[in-house]
This record gives sequence, C-alpha cells and structure tokens, in this order.
Amino acid sequence: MLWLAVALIGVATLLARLLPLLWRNGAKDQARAPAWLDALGPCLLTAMGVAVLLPEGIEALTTGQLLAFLGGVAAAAAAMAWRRDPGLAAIAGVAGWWLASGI
Amino acid sequence: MTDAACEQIGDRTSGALAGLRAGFPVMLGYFPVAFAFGASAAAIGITSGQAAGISAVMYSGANQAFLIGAIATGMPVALIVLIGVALSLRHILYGIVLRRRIGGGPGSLTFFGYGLTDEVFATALSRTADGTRPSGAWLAGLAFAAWSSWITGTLAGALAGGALRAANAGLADALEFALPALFLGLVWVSVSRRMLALMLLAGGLAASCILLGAPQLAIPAGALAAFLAGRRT
Repeated sequence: MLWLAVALIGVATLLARLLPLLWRNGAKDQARAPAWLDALGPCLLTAMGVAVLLPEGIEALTTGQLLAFLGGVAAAAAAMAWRRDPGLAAIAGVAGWWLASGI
Repeated sequence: MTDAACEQIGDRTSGALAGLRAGFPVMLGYFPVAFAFGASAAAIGITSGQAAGISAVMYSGANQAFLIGAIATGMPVALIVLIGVALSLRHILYGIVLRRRIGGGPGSLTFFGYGLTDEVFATALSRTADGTRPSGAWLAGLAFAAWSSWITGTLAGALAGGALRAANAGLADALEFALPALFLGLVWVSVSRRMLALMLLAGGLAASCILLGAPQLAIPAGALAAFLAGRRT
C-alpha cells in the first residue's frame, strides 16, 4: 500500500510538472503574454524565497544561530552586489554561515 | 558525419555542460536535504534502495518529508495520497510560466519536466530574466545536476546518515544554508522596477501565511499577487 501511495503521488507530481510544459497552444503561444503571466514568475520566485528564508531565520533566532544566519545572508548579498551570480551567492552564503557560526 | 551534425552535437554538449554548471548551487543545496531524508527513512526501517526508489519516483522534498512523517504517525494511505497530490498542484504554475520562455524538443522537455522542482524552476526562470531562451540541452543539464544530487544524497543519508551528521554537524548546518542563499540570489536577479511592487506584495502574502502557521499556502498566496498585474497604470 505504501508503494501504491508513492506511485500515485509520483505520477500526480510528474503530470503537474510535465503537462503544462508540453502543452502548446499554437497561435496563442505566439501572442504577447498577458500581464498576469509576465508577473507570475517573479511573484512565485519571491514567494519561494520568503518561504525558504523566513523559516530559516525564525529557526536561527530560536536556536541561537542568528549571527550565523545574518553572516550567511550578508555574504550572499555581498556576492550578488559584486557579481550578480546566484551560484556564487549560494557558495558565499554557506561560507558566511560557516565563518559566522565560529565567532 | 557532416560538419553541421558535428556542430549540432558540440552545441548540445556545451549547452548541457553549461546547464550542469548552472545546477551546481542546486546540487550543493540538495545534498544535505536529501541526506536528511535518507537518514530519516532509514530511522523508520526503510532500506537505502527503497529510499532511493522513493526519491526517484516522487522527487519532491515537500512530499517526501510529508511521507516520512505520515508513515511515522500511521496516517491512512488514502489521506497520504490526497495530501500528497494537493502538495504537487503548485507545479502546474511552473510549466505555465516557463513554456513560453524556453526552447527544447519533446525529449529534453520531458526529462526537464520530470526534474522541474522549485529550485530548478527558479534557476531556469532567472536564466530567462535577460531575454535568454535556454536550450533543451541546457535545461536537461540543469535538471540532471539537481536530480543526481538528490539521489546520491538520499543514498548517502540512508547508508550513513546518523554517523556522518554527528561527526560534521557544523558543516551540515552551513550546507543547509545553500538553498536559502541561492534563493536570495535568484530573487535579486529577478527584481525590476516594473515588478517591484508586485514582488513586495507576493513576499508579504507569503510571509503572512508562514507567520500565521500555514507555510504550505505561502507559494500559492504569493502567486495571487500576479493577478493584480495590469490593473495599475
């Protein structure tokens, strides 16, 4: 029964990811995207960023790791201001957290 | 083989390698999360092969964490499926947003679709911010980078989770910050004067859901802000 649940959820996840990506709507796809669709990506991205960062900050506050969290955020932001490279920001953030947690 | 065919293969290879490189931060962030899933699965009696199988079939951090919690608390299977499917529905939005902005044929898009997690979506979307249209090979490379880290992290966690985490707790904590730092960078790249107000509203709605104890609604709530686009002049 467990594997049935895994398979059903897996298929549902696959279809939710795949079908909108493969579904092409000819002329409508060539037309200019409506304003809400232009805005949907940045809005989703911002919501994801908050959904990842805010709980991490709250957990850092309650577990006494606020300095490490702030060090990681500051290092990632500095990397972005310097090179505008999200990959570099991820590495800098880890290094910033690691260094600040040792202070 | 003709020169044109050689050139095409070369383009695909360099595209896939660039996608792999773009996926490196996601790999870095996924490994510890998958490691934690593998270790949790082993702790409730799931073998390393089964854990890797679950990771390959479900390939969803939120669903897999929910599954482990649900098994541990004895939740009925029907309810597990219902909640798991509901958790997956947000992915529909990712394809709708990306399909006008990316290239690729049915084969590469099918593999990319299988690997279209939150972080892969965010990385692909930020790639399009300057008008670039990522190729199918680039998208497949990105998806493979994330997926390979997820599977190897799951296996490593299931095989040696408890011992390794105890030996390197500080490093594990630091590595877990890779995904938050990556998202900080991805949001930063996407900020524009035109979208700033809507992005702030999306962030506020998502934060409200989290602070009110409904984190699972944060992403859909943030998406609602997009529907105000074009209503302001």
